[in-house]
Amino acid sequence: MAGFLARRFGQMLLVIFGVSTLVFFALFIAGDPATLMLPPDATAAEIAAFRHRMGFDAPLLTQYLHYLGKLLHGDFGTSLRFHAPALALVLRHLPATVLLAVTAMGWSTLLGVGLGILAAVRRDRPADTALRLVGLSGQAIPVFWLGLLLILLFSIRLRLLPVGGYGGLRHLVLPALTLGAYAMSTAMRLTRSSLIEALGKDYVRTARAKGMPEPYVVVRHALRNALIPVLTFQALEFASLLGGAVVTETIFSWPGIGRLAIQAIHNRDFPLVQAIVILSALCFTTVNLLVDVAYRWLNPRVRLA
Amino acid sequence: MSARTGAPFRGRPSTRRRLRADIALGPVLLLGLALCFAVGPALWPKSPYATTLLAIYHEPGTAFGQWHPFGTDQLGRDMLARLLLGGRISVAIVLLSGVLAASVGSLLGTISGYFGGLVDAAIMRLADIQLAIPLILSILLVIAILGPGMQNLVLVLGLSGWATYARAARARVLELRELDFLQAARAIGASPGRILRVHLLPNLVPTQVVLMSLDLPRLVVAEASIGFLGMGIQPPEPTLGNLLADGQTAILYAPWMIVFPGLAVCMLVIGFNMTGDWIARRFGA
Amino acid sequence: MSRRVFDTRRFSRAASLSARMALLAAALAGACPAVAAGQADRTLVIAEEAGPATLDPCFIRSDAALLDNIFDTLVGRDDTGRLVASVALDWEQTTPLVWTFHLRPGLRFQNGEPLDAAAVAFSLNRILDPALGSPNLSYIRTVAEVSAPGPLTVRIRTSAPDPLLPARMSRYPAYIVPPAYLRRVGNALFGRQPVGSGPYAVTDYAPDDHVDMIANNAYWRATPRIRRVSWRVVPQPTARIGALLTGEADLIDSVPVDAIGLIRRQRDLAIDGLPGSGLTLYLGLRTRQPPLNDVRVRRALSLAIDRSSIVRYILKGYATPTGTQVGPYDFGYQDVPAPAYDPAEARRLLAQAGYPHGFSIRMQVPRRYVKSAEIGQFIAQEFAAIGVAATLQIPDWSVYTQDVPAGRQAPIYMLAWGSTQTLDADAALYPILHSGEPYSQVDLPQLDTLLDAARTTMDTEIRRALYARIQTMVTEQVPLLTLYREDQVFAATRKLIFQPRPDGRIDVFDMAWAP
Repeated sequence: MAGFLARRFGQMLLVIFGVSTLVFFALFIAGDPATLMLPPDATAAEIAAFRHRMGFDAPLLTQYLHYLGKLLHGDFGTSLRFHAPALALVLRHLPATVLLAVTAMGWSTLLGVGLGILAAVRRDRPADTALRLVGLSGQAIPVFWLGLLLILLFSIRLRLLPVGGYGGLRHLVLPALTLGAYAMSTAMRLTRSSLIEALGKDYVRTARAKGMPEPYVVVRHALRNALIPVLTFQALEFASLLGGAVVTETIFSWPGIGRLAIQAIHNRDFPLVQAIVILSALCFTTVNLLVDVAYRWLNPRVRLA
Repeated sequence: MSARTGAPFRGRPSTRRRLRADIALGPVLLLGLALCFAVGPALWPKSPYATTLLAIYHEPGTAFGQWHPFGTDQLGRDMLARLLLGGRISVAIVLLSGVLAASVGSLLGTISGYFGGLVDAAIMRLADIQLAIPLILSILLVIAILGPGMQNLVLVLGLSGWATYARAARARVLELRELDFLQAARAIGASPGRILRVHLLPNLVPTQVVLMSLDLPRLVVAEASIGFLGMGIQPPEPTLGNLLADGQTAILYAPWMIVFPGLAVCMLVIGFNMTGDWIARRFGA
Repeated sequence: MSRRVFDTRRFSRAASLSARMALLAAALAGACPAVAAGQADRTLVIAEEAGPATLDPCFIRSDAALLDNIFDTLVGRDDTGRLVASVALDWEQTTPLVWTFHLRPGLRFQNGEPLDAAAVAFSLNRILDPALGSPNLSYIRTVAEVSAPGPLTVRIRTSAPDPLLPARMSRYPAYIVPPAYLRRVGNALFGRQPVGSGPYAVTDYAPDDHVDMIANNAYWRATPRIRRVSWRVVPQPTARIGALLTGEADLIDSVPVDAIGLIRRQRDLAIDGLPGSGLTLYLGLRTRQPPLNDVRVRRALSLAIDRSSIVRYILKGYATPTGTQVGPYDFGYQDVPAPAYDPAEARRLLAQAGYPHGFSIRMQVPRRYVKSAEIGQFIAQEFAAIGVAATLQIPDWSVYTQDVPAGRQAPIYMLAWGSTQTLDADAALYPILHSGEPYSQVDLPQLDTLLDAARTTMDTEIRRALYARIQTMVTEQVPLLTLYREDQVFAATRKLIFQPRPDGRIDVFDMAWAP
């Protein structure tokens, strides 16, 4: 286990290093930030002085090493638009994203697993068919379309819930619904199929043969194993959401990482984009690592492979 | 091989009949949409570009002697004509970028699996890096740098999706490598290039096609999201994403503008999903 | 004058505390939207299309309307557009180049720091300091030197006679900032936790999200009637209207014209528009290169545009087709009718200029103004009708605002210009028509001469005549294609007493909750 951990951790560091390098060179291609940061009527001398002060006139390799050195110290540069440390800006927007992602993942897992069990137990009956249709459309509806339809119905027609913004529970409902719909459908489909598979396994048959009540068999024996792939999927989905639910946050004016990222891209605020990309890659790889570890711990068979 | 001649099949007979209906549905839906987008723009007599200022935001029906079954948009353009052309452009982008992603991914995955060692490690870490960057962010960032346009969109959508294909190809190559015919080919001194071209890549096609059909819905939604966020192909050119973006601003007074393009996206995604399942069942596993 | 002043330490602690409590407070507000806490204590929520990137007057690039509520200026402007006393009680032009302002005694900033002549000099010199690189320097570029010969006397020397100096001292960026506080916290922090002497003090600021303010009870004009204000950034028009419909916002700006009918049907909402008070839209032309260096081509393009249809159908009448960049509230305004729509004559002119089959050209239209992307598409079609194939490009605003002054824009580009800073033809014309100005693509020496003369002439009648000649010359030479003037359109709850102003100010001080 220790060897596995060390190897996976090393890989993770390598990936983060790779992402940082990629982003650095991508933004280098993007062009000279001096033209973006200085007023349009800046003189050539002002531009030269500025480039020198910011280190843009140094050789590329020097700039790159300098950049990596700063990253190691947690310095992600300064936002061009807000004249504030990029890291602080990202951290300020993180709680909103985490709140949204946790809520979305929470309801989608609970409901998805619940409906998945129902569908598996009622396999091929009308309830199952209806749920499969729900699952299929849940996976097919693009998030922004769902978001718009929800706004149209609940905010504009019924005036029940706010159109957007950050605040109390009322503000959370629609974005969380929108964001979780896809994961809910997937969780449902996954639960259904892996539970059906598990219900056909020998140990379940044995349990049934021993005369245990069906609900007990389903929950105690089959579900435990069937849930592993579902939770794995939900965890990975959650990891990618930490990078910002870009579209959902944009539609609902939700002040999270995703909206910050879109604004930063539109404003060509590259240090901020850089920080967001690197930090979300960090979140993604960390959760990935945790999932791997948990997987091994939960499922001893993997260890043999 | 078809379901009738006995593909390995578990389950009760009733499921079997049900699935046969399902089998027909995916490809039929997809073919129907493809047909609409392919010949629709030529058959539907209205222009997707012609503006009629008098008929701005006209609901589905007849406006000033013209029949607009899907209504008109913010410049009085016929929404059906724009949807047909937009669907065509979107599907073209999605297919091209899907093929690009599959080709690049297969090639890199094959090289990775065949040569192993350092090459393998390098390519697989590259795939990890690709997967660690949030997809939509990397796409938008590249578009912001390169500028919007059809070629750039295909390029960035294609190149952002190669990692999944590379992983699948690598796994398959690792299996194939141990098989007799490859050992034989190597024994008679075939060059790695030849082995790759003649023996490995053709054998990858089935798995990669299955993977692609399951990956295309992702591309449909990604294209629509980019258009929706205003960074897709420039107007007046319609795409499904551009139409949804137009509709979003008008949702309060012209809801039909988001309904039809949104349904088109859903149908495309369902069509691709079901077709993917269907292909997987018939040729895969 | 009220004796109550803000203690700085308490003030900044309150600010950070309120930041921490934001979630809780918002949660409470969200959970029970209509608390019967009485109208007076109700927070005014203003949903804006765009928000400020900084609250430091030295570095703002937009959103002066918000800063007007935090800071004071030497000169004020009443709702009819007349210049009136504000921080300065009166002012005089002592010599053609020197102006003297006499300050109101006893004024203090929100942190208790005295507002005196030294503070005024400090504030203006800060913008003039080239080392700071203020993007707003050009607005007060005529100022050569600011000094404080006495505690209540400010002397401003201009580089040339400037008839607009008092007007320039009435608006952005000439806000007065507290020198001691600024020196202590530094520029970066001041941009996030500013202190002014205006009617409202900032309590919490999240860039591109919201700015929360509380009334300055010690304000010298009077205690503001509305106690709390929250400015929220809601870029999407649908979301802004939705917020108004659901009661989350009380006042919204940039109302999409197509939604006006919908809002008018709501009994509790009102549309507040002010005809001709918005920006004047035009298509800039790069007149230094062919084919746009030929006046016949420029005239042809102008004749190809059906301005009245654009205004009537696309803008639903919430704009005015016009032939001049000068606004009706500006000094020097001439009622120049919009150019005629005559595609046949346009084709004839093109043929005469040597383009019988037209030409291909690029056109940039940002998605920034009311329905601008739609209007861009429509104009591209009208150009196509006279044989000019215009390829449309919708640039990102941040890139476009850098490209245009740097001269990297397409040969035809849409821009809007206003004169709200001074309400004078000078601001409407000089920056976009005088050669050498960053936003100008025009080289007409005769026009330069007239613009320079009008800028330095003190006699109002001669100035008026000069601007009349300038506007005539622009109609003849067509150095740019003036399209139409937008109306400012606000929508607000009927519970709010609010009146839009020609200079675009949103002064919460003048608003109140209806009884």
